[in-house]
Amino acid sequence: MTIHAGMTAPIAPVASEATDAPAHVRIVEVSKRLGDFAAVRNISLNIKRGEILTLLGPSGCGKSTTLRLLAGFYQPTEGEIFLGDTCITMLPPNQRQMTMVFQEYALFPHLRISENVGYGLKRRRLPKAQAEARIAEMLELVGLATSGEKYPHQLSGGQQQRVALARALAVDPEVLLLDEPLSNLDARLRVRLREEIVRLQKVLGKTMVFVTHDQEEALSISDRIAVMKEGRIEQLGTPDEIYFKPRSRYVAEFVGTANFLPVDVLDAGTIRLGSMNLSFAAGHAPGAATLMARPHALKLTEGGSPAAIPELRGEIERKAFHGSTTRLWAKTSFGDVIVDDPNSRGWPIGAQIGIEIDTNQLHVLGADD
Amino acid sequence: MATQVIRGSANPRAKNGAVRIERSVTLLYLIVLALLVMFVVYPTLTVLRYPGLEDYADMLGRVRWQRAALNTVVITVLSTLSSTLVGFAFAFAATRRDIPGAKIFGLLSVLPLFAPPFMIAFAYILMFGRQGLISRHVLGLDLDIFGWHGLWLAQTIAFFPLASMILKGVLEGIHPSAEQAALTLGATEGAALRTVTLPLVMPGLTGSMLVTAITILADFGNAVVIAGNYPVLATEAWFMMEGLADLKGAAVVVGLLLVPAVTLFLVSRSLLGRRSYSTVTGRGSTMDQIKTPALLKWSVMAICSIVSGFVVLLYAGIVYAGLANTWGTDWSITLRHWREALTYSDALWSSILIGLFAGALTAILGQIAAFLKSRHLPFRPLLDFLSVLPGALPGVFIGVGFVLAFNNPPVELAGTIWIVVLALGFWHLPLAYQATSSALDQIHRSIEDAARDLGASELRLVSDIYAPLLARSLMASFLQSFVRSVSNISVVVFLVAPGNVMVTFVILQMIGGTDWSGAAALTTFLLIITFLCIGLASLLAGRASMQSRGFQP
Repeated sequence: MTIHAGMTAPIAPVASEATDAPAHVRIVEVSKRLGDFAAVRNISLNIKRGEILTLLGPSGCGKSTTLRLLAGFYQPTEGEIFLGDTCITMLPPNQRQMTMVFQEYALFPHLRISENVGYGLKRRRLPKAQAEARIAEMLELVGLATSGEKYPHQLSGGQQQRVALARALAVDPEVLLLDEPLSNLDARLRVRLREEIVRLQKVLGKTMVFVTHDQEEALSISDRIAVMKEGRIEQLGTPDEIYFKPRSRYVAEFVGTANFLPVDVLDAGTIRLGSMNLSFAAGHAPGAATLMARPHALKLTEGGSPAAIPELRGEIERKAFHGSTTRLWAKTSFGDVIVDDPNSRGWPIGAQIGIEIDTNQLHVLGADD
Repeated sequence: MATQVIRGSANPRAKNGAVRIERSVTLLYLIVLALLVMFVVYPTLTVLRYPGLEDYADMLGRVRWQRAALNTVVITVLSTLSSTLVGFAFAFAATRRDIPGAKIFGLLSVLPLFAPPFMIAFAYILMFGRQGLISRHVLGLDLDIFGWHGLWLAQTIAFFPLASMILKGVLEGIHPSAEQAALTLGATEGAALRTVTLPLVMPGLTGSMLVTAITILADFGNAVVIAGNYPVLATEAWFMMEGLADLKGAAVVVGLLLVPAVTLFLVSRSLLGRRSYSTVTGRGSTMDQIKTPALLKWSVMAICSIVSGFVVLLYAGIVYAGLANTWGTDWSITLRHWREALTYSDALWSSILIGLFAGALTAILGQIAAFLKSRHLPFRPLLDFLSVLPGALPGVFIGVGFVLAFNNPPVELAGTIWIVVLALGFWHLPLAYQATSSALDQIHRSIEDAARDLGASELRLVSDIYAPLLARSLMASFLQSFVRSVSNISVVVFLVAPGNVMVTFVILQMIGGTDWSGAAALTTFLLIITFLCIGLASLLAGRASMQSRGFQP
């Protein structure tokens, strides 16, 4: 469990309520219909000043629509949006002080890099000398100080997206909106650029709303994540909460691989898994419930180990080497169970194994899910 | 070892990495090149060589010619600008979500594309001339529409669809997120269109203007009907030959016309060939488009509505003129003119026959040339150039060229339908060549590699892979060339002889002899043939796309 030691520490109660700081952006009971399709259904969300809030979900969940409502490309069918104390629901995009970074970069191909970055400054009629200084500062910030004279097509995809970032930040917006900005980049570049976005956010302290369907991306960059499903917010919380304490099976599965096992909640401090009682505060009323265990919360032992849960004894069916861990699929009387073995010790396929559970990493979902 | 031998036989690349060309392909290549030299290069050179230097000097000195040359420049510039403006309005209306009527404007904007080249001018006279239904009998005006202004209007209506088609492609290629980005950075909708959309359209706009200009420069049909006392080069060549039997004069005029035509052509090719701003990462949804500023929106809609109304009137005028008892005096409906028109069945028959042969020639040769261009053959740029060159040649140039080149031995074709078939077939070659080339580009290289890997020879690829995949573009090229050949006038007037009189020539004579009812009835027939072909084409296209949809995941 060494690899996940950091994660197994008891989760500090992170304030996910917006009561401690005044919200920077407030979405109040907003719905949006696109034709016959209810894209966003009665969403309320407070975005705090200086946080990175990620809207996460599969395509069609309403995350991009929500971002477009914030940007002002759509007007809500119902509800209001506030920036600070100002109602901006009906304000056109060009008066919102929110700039956007697009998935397809959307650089102006006919303008030089410096002109691209300076576009918003020009629209704000900033004096030339000031604008030039600002452009230089922004290009410096994204590490493209020498590329100002080039045209977008002369840059790589990653560089183009940096320019798009610089362009959006140049006008010093209240809020930066990012619509799947990394989806068009290759895997390695995606990781580099997302670290850069976090760094920029720390330097500038900008409020950012980030849209993505990539759970790893969301977990790594966000202060808070709103997992969306069918136009609603399914769960809002810190990456920790979302990952370890998902509210539903949908959230649990969307942010990572999970095992779901039937349990009985016996009392406030005990649950029963198969024929074994575990001391664990489920936080649910007694009765049938579902236990969620991430693959790294389970540990493989010899089949006869006394700590192993009898119903989870079984046989290794399949395995896949992941580098730092090996993922194993074991057939048990509770069905297939997925275990990440950190030692890559090489359990052979067909081995008879038992499974122990790290109760620090357990989470019990409501009976209904 | 055995497997290596087998693999070697199917591998197009020899040991040293150079591409091996199969003998059958080489042979085909030589045949195609020979044909292009014979029927494109040879007539072109013949025209240019036919007059002596003193003929050129003599002609250039004549006042009437100088006037014709100047007129040509003036009308080309005027009509190009107005066609582009109207074409842009239609393209804009078609690609903006918040401008209503996209469907109906789209339909009406392609109608003039299918009109025989002289029809717009003729219909304009029917509706707005001295005896015009609208001008005289509805409004009570006495208009003289012959001359530069009549030609200007006719050409604008006739050629804006061309500009509109090109510009629509350009506008569709611009991703809406560029406009959105401008908006979030603080630009108003108007500013976004001005500072982002317009510069992005600019290269396409220039290209479309050049292409339109080439067509207008060479326009014979409208000029011959409505230009009246306003000589332009395209018609002057014919008057020289018809009236004065002055072949040298005609050759000088079309040679003169060739200079700007080829220049525009080369410039437009290098412009459109260069990197364009569009097609960044596929098309965005029109839902993402920014709002169109009200003033622009209403101006565009006004232009589209007025021009659409005009197009409808002109089409209605032709059909009604073929059915009215006597245009100008007796407006009752009769089928008399249709029956009389049917007595020209010989001309109708030769038109259809010539159209079929020319269409087949264009489609097949275009397909082969496009296939050869995609091979690793030496002198490929030459093949490419010769296959698109006819697109730069004005119809009157082709007409004079074929008269001069194939009137005498060794190749004597004058008076047969074959001279017309060859002239039209080769003139329309670029249509099929370019359509097939772009269709070929869509076929991923890996499909061919897979077939080769399984042992197909290069020619086998044609029959097994390309022919089935390109069937649709073959059919489309054939129908397009057929329609254009049947309704051609600029080439035909030079090649007409008792053995190959075509309907368009008969119509032109009827208009000249003010037998408007007869001309309108025959034009209606032409329109019926045309629209039957289009119906057939879209039926085929619909079925083909259904099939290809089945292949998609």
